[in-house]
Amino acid sequence: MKTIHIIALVAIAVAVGILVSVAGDFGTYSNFDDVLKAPDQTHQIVGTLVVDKPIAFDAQSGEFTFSMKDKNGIEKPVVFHGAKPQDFERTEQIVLTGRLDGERFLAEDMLLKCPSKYDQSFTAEKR
Amino acid sequence: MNEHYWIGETGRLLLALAFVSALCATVSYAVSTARRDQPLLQTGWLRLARTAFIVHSLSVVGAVALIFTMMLNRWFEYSYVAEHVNQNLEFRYLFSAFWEGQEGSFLLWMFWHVVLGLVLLFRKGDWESPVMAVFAGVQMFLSSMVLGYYIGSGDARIGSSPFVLLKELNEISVPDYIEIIRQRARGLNPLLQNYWMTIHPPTLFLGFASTLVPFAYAIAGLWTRRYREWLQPSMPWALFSGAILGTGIVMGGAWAYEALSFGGYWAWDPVENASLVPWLLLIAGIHCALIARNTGRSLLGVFGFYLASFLLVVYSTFLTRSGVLGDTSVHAFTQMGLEWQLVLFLAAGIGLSLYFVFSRKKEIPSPEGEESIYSREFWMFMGSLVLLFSAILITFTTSVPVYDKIRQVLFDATGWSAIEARWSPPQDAVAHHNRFQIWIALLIGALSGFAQFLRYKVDADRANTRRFWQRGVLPAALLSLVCTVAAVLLTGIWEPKYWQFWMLLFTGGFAFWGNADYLFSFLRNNLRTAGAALSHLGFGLLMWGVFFSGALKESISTGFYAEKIDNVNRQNNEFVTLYKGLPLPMKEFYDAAGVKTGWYEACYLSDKVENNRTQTYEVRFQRKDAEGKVVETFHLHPHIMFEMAAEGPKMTAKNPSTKHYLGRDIFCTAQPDWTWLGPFQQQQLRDSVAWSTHKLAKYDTIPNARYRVVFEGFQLPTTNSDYLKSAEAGDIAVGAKLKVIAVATDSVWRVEPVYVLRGDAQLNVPVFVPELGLELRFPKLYPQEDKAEFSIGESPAPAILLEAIHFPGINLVWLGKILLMGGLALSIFRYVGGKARSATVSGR
Repeated sequence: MKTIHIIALVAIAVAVGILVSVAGDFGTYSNFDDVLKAPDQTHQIVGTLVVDKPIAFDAQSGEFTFSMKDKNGIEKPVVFHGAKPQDFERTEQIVLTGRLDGERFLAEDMLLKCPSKYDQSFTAEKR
Repeated sequence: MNEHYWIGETGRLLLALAFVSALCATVSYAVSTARRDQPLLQTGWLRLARTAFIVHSLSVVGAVALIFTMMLNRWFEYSYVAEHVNQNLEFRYLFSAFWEGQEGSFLLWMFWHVVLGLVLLFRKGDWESPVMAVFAGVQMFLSSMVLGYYIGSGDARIGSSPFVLLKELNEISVPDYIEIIRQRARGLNPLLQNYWMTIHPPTLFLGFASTLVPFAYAIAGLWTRRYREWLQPSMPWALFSGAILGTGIVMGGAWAYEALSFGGYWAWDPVENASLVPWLLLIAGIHCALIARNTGRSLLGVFGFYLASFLLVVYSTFLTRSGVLGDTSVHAFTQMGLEWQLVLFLAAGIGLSLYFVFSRKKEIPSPEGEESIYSREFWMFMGSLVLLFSAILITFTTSVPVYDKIRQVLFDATGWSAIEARWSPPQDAVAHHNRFQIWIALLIGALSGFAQFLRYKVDADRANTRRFWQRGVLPAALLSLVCTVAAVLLTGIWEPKYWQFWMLLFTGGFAFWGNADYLFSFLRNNLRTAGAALSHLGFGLLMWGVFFSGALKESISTGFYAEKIDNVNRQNNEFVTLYKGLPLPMKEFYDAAGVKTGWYEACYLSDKVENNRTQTYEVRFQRKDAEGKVVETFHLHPHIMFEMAAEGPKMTAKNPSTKHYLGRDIFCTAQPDWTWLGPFQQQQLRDSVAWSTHKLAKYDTIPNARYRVVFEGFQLPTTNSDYLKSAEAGDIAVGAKLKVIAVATDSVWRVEPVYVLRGDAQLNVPVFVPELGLELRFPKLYPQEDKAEFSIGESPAPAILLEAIHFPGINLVWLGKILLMGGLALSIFRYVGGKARSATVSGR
């Protein structure tokens, strides 16, 4: 057996091991029920903005708060540490990454999808 | 109404012609290749093929010119114009607007293929037919993406045309719709109105386009069974492609850093990954090609890497343009109904590659025996495998939405159960990729530090191993060790938990010193061969830069409440609210013993609006020492862009401002309070004046965080001109000399409010200091005590949300990248025109 074959085998073994470990980072999109069941974990949730609930930014604490409705229609208040993104009211879809903080969902990362005809782009608010 | 139908009709005709002529060129170049043993027949087909490709080239250039004409003249009846241009878009951004949309960027890509194809065509030679057959085939697929041809009566269509009239997309009942669009068109996304966006996309697309050349040569080599001969003509092209694609990627990072408010140059976004992966494979291919030239080994690797590189360009096109990345990427285009066409394109590319590789695999020559671990080719091949592995890891993660899509399609097809939860990519993409890619960087750093000290085709018996270790490895390792220890001590990362950073620094330093040594000791007299050493040296610098700017990046805009939020989430304390005129202490510094050594202070001094579309803030930064003495002062001017909407101004983009030092950057963005307050709330706040009353004797001071008011005595008779205009006989009018000092700037205003006794009535004349939002009144006088009463009305100061980040070593990142790409570019000259010493083939 050539040295190169041994190295190739070792490389493949390492590669498979690492790929399995990479796949361990993958998850599924949750809904708010899953969040309540596993409050200590970080979740990714896709949902829509609840338009008739207050949307507010408090400059003193730096907290931006709004309510989001998940795919099953469950609503929850959300806190994000960052300024209010532009055109937030018109957001078509929100993807949040974060976890439960008391009654509220604390978002670490927020990805918005804007519907406008002349601006079909995505904006991200990364913190 | 004045609609320009001719341009759309001509445009569609040209695009159809482009498709048909590409088809003709593909077929005739292919036949010409197949008949290469019958010169007469071959020449005939070749002539036809060339004509077809030239017609195709003219059509593409013509279509591009027509779109520019439409945009330049603001013919808003066309959807592409209405979506990407508006009335006041500056000319210099017209190019960015052209490639903002899918159709334009496809045409940009095709344009570069045409340019590269014409170069290959006019250089003629016996590689022309097979190489150009591949080029024309790819152009055929790309042309089909912009056809906009509807099939039957349904919605099924081939491609999306840039020459679609708004009328065709929407029911239009208003006769003067063009006027309405003219006023309402939003134009180019403000984030793209940046000079990097004028040069980054064409460079990146030239990079993408140029990966087709090595791909086409690889196919040509397999097709015509000339397995080695194609290496020579394709080498400069592969190096060119590596340099240009790499430069395009770096420019994207520069744009993200300079124009976007994310605060960074690389975010492992799927779109960024999609351009990095083909580059990694191309670089792996170049290394294999060098091995093949010099030893005859790794030929299969060259084929594999060059083929995969272009296929991954197509795959990344699929990822970014099919809408599949919708939930995971910031930059991805939205769905345009091109998914199946893109899948077909990809499948054709993969099918063609697999067919040729597997049908010729047995014939690809490979020398007997194995390489010694003291040979250069052995370690270069290892390096290529590491790059391949990096590419696999990145693609594996970036493709999660694709797995989910496939799963959905399969489930839909079988009609089992509806899918409950959709698969999501890692929650923290940056941490995820960094965790794995740091090992890739370590391996590449180490390999590129020593491989050049080894020679090709040397086996263990003949290798001068002592010289290799003592003269090659040892000096670089020692120098790197010294640098690493110094960096670890200086940055305070001496705790064992930082061992990965130590290794990153050590291998980066090893790559740098190893190549610097090689460059100066061995290549002194021959700069033409210095390309590789320069590139590897640049990679070492890049590793250092990534460590400093990534691991040591810190927010300096941390306020007094940071600690509270810190407990909840460390990431979320990166901004402070600055009130105009109120200096705010931010990030504090401590020495190793925990003693406070100083802090940063920021103050929002002023703002100005220009052209009714930008608002710029002047923010003063001060670094203070432990006693509070100012060590350094500088001003940054972050700005925002806004547009006027019916409900008031709307922010459209935040643009950072950066203070550059040689060793570090301080980067800041600002967002004004009106963006988070609604118009009503804002008005309410502006109207809410807070009043306070103060009874003062001469030289008393009213202290405040933003201002001080000093009562400097009475002024009799008063000199206040407002009063004098309405003075009446019999008035007793007393002025008060007040000195108002702004704390932030030490600016001084002298004002004189007036107390008036008119008959029985006590009146007063107020004064204003608009810069501080102050109104001062003098409503009462106490003559017995020699005191005066003042009322001070304070309007709430406007505020901005400030984010400031300290990036150490960012210039190492840029320098490292420039050397990396510069080295590749330099190597082109070595291989162009076959001047390099010809490949020595062994084992034959």
